[in-house]
Amino acid sequence: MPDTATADFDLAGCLERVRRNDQEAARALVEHLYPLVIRIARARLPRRVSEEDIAQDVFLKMFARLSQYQGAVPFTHWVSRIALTTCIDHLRQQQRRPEFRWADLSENEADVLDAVLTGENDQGPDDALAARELVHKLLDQLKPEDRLVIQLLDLEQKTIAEIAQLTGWNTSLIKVRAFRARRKLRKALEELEKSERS
Amino acid sequence: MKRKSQDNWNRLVALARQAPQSDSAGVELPFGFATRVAAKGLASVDRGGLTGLFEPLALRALGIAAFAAVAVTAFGFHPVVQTIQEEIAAVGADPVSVLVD
Repeated sequence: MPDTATADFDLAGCLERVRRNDQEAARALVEHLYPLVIRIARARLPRRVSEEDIAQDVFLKMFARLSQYQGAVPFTHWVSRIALTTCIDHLRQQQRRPEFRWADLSENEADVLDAVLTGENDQGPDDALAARELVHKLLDQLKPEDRLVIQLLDLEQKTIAEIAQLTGWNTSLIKVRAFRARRKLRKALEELEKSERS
Repeated sequence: MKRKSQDNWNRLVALARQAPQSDSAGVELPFGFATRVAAKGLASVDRGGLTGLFEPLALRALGIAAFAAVAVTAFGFHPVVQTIQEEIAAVGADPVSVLVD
């Protein structure tokens, strides 16, 4: 995750002023952290929720919990965790998709899945976009926490240690979530394959 | 079957990774966003400050109230029962059996 802290921004001083209810410092803090928060929200955006709404939620939680921040982790990591848990909360509110079948796929998605299942290797950029859309549809069937783990592991290729640092979850929990999610994804792919044949 | 499905997932996800990242789009702040969120945020901190003041006390108050309820029951039970028994003895008969008779 990119660290948005810039050398010329006095984060500690700004936080001190925010704690004293300085409106101008609060505005500067939001401006400073916006790129970090919006990247997290955009990467894990639940459907039908605008990234601006999620960013606003994250900042409101950040201000409300500012008195709890003790400085044990860098401030940007602390805000990243708030952003991640906010995305999970939004995903939880969003009803999980029922199992979907081959007929529910768009033409591009069906072509990509067909190529993947048959082991073809000549895919283009459009296929990559369709594959990403298809992956997100499959991820929609997982629990929000499991979805986040798979997204970080498989799509963003982060290590277990990085995920632990990012989420605050212990490594065993992450491994259990990854195992459970992969089992469900395998099953979903098998079901799709069966529904294509039938 | 399990191995094949896992390979299929790996291939699919490898292809999905090649798609352009959505975070490559701009990250410009919407006009007025920072001012609006900062004002709302600080307002919520104000309200949180007052509730935050009473929050640690609330749990202690609940504990004290529970302890007081138990103490009152424990210490008050015996005198109440004793008073009732004395009243029954003063009447000389069990009022319920008198009524039934």
